[in-house]
Amino acid sequence: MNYYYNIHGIVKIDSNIPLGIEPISPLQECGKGDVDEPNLVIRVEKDVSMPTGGLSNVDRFYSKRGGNFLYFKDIYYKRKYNILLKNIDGKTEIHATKPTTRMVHKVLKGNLYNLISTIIQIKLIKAGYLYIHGACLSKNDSAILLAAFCGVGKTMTSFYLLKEGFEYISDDMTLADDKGFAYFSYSPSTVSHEDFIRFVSPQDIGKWKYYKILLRSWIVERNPALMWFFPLPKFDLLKLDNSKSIEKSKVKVACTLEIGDKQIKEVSKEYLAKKILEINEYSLERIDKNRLLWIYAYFNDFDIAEIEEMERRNLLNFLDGCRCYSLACNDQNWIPLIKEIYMEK
Amino acid sequence: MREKSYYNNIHDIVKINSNFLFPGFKPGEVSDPDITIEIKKDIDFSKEGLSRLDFWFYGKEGGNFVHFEDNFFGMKNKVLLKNLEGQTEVFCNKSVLRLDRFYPPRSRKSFKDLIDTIIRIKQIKKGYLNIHASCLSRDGSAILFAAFPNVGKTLSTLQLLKKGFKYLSDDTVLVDRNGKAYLTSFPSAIGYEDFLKFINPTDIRTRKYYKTLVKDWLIKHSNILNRVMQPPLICLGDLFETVDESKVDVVCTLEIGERKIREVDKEYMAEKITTINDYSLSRINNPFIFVYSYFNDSSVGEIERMQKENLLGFLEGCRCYSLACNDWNWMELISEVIE
Repeated sequence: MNYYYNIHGIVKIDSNIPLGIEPISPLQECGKGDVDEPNLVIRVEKDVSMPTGGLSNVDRFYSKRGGNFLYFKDIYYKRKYNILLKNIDGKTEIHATKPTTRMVHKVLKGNLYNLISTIIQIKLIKAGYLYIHGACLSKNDSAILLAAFCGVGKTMTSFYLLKEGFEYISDDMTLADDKGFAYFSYSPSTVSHEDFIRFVSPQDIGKWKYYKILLRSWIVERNPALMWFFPLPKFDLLKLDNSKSIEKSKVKVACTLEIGDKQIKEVSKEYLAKKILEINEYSLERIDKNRLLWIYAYFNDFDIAEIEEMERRNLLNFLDGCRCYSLACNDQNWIPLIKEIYMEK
Repeated sequence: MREKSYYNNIHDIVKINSNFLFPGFKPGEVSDPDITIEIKKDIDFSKEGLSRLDFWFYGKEGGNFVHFEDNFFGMKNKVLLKNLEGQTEVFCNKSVLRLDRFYPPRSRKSFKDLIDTIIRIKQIKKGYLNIHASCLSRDGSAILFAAFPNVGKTLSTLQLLKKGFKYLSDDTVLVDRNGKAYLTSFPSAIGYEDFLKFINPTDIRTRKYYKTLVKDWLIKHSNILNRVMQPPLICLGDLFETVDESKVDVVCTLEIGERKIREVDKEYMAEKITTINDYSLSRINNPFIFVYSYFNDSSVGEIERMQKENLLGFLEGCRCYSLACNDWNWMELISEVIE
């Protein structure tokens, strides 16, 4: 069975395993079948073998200088743990055995899904895109980006703005490009109990569902021990009655949210770029998460520092022409602040 | 009752005072320290007027501090980091260390990781950096082997020590921008064969020698123990003659592959060493540092760029080689390079 994933035509993935699992959630167009000209092929097979004669060996990795491939071979608790990665620059191929999808290897410090999400990220950055940890909503084809750390109130703000007639682009990770556009990327996110009671009413999502989520989040929040086993319930903004989504939209206003004394400050582009980079580094995984890539960089003409530099350039280009603000308030009530900066023009 | 005090002085580059005995610290005090660590019973810190990030971190725009506060199953966790640029002060309460011992919370990494990261940032800002390499010196000129783990750094170190070289480091070495390497002695694991071949019972105590030997043998011959037990650690700096600092003339990377000796240029070498470092030593990845640079005008990207500049300065005037061989016979290649 083949699955395909298409991220706005930038990264097209052809895989024989479903990828909807956590690290790779913001995928938009997906289903069973094939895709034309994929640039990332994932094959999970019973056995991935490769003759290692004549290859250089580094700490269980095998490769050749300028060979554009990397082979990892280990037996981990009596299971074959092999990964073959080919060609990061062009059409990437990943062949792996089944245990790589389940176990986190001590040497790699990650599993196959970490590797795949990192490669998707690299491909996006090279094409001039990047992920920003923030919510994004649009009205009349001009969008507002709210970048923030976790737990500040992004999801609830997006929920409120959706009710006001905004269109959904993203509420957790926004895909942005270097021309100032934000692209639809969807990932349901968790909501704390207090926020849920404060902002959501039974009419919004249906009574049955409302009380189900309420009860579950109440039980989980009261018992810290349960938090280890049950995640907080996901709040799916797109499944609300009258929520609309839009494919892409030009971002006119970008701001960071912070909990503190109430303020609205207009800031420069460079200042905001620095803040967003710190937020990204803290909240999203840095590119170094999977150590496979370091060895690939060692043997081939591929520089991770250069990719990070490229990401910064993409971000600066993205913010070009945006109005940038730094917002702060104490009571998680962002709506008046947002109204002030968004509606003023 | 007098407060206990301990210090660690890393070659007069970074001086640390602490009231808790971390590994590697000695009793006493040092004048004008760069880092002061204080473990308190409780930290009183008013959070009024501060911004909060991600449930736990508190700070202020341009305030030069980060405060962390979390309640972990009834255990109060508080860490306060002040003044990363100048004289750094780190405070934490006792339950932080207690918690670190069995489970450092996901929200902050362990306290030791924070201290290590601060030390590393201080070193980089003063023009130094750590390289994952072994380093040995003879007649005031040193040779440095940078390599990934399990390639043979410790083996070649032992072989060279027997030939009359003096010890600087066998795993991670501190170097500066002017081409000098400094003694960095950490305990490291030595495999069974190497142990049998290179170390005599007279070097360490006889009882310890046989204990280590048995443990090494067990780990080598059992697949299960291999995963469970940590190999015994030996501090080579205590056994052999050491030298405090030395100018580095030859820099090599070691690799397993078909035998070759290739002279390479400085930029190429810097790129390879950066990759080795990022893989083996991991990058600056502590949430405190990210939050601190969010509020103040320091930047993690800037520090990493500074590190690269230091590395390029270090390699200036060195001869650089890329060595590879199949049969762990590094001595042949090394003697060829030295001549």
